Amino acid sequence: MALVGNNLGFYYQKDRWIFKNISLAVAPGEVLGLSGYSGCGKTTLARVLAGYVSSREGRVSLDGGTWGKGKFRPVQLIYQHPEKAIDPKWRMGEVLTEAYKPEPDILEAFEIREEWLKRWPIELSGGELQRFCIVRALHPQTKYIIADEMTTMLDAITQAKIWHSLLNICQSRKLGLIVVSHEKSLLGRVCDRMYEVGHG
Amino acid sequence: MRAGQKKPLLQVDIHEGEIVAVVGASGSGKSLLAHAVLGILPGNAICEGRIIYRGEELTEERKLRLRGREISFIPQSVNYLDPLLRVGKQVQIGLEKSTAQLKQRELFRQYDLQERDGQLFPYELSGGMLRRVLFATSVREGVRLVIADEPTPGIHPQALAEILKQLKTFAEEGARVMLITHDIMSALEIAHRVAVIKDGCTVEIAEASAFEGRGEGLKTEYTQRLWSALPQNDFDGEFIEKGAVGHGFSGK
Repeated sequence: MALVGNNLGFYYQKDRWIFKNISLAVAPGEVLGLSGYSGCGKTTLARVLAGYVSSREGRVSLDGGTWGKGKFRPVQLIYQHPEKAIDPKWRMGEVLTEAYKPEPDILEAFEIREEWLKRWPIELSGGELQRFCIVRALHPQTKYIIADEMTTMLDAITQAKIWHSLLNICQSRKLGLIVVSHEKSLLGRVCDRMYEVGHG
Repeated sequence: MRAGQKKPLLQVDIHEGEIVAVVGASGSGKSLLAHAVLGILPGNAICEGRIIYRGEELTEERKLRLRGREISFIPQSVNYLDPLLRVGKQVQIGLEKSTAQLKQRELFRQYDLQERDGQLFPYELSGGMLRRVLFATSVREGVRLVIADEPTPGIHPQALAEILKQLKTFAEEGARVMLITHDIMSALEIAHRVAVIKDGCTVEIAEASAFEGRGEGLKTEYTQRLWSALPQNDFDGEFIEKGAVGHGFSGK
């Protein structure tokens, strides 16, 4: 039982490898930190692990198998730029409930206010949008979460609260969590284990 | 200055050659403050109050004339880049035509981007690289006010140092710098003063030197909490139930 990447390699332009020979695994309930140079391929690796793109080399396996097409993806990715991960022409209520209807307690845990649901994405700040992206990813069938620079747009107090809420949920639901960040001190606070992408 | 329907009091002043960091809660109106100064608020926004720039009121016409010239803006969202234009070209906009390409390559080198990266479209760059491209678009001759809205997330330490150095250079050359950020630790390396914003109001404007130790030098409880919640400080203090928050400052 784990999300495993085996010997992963990826390029956009032929022979310009972004990364190669990356093997890593995260088990349910575990928190793995990913760090590395900006441009070393952390986000691309996150997209490969979440199944948005296929690796050019190696394979990703989920709890021993792969996942079927057209089904819910148990690996959910929280993007670095929430404003690019939300349809600008949907109201926030629709964005939130597209895949499931979150309970009020989870909205409260991430400090999402009722009044925001009627707003358009442009009427919320980056940090407010990101909280919708987090809740949206916490579908009941989610098994693994990849958080790509998830809280860089949040103030320190909100950041601490959001991490507390997310870590609690991951622990109680036994979700595996991959945390991508440049903030060494944050990674030190939340992760069980670290993986350095590239060695530049 | 007021934004939206709230009636808060938001007040910030920046002197010549000074760097003022603007920090505070997510959604407190930091970006709106920047957009108001630049005159790029959305059409349905209501903005009241006065903005004085170099002794004169900053009117909408004046904003239009000065922004992109002596007022430079580094936006928070990577949506501000043209998705259909190669990033090298975007950095060349506003540079002296004859030397634009040369200057752009120089800027790329300075911010640790490869020359061939200039040929890429924004979607082909990482978040940290896009930040550096956005930053490079702001470095122009004769800049007198720089508004940087979160220029540092997702950047590795070396490129971060380069960006902080450039902001400092702007100030040393006499520009005023507003650095909007959540990265208090980086801001403190260069800022003279720190304005703390919450719910559209200025909570406190503190000297950068007050941010040290357990924050005893900070005047308001909110600023102290903000300081102590940093992962470098007492991160977990905010985790403990409400009743215990007051004791969160005692450290680990």
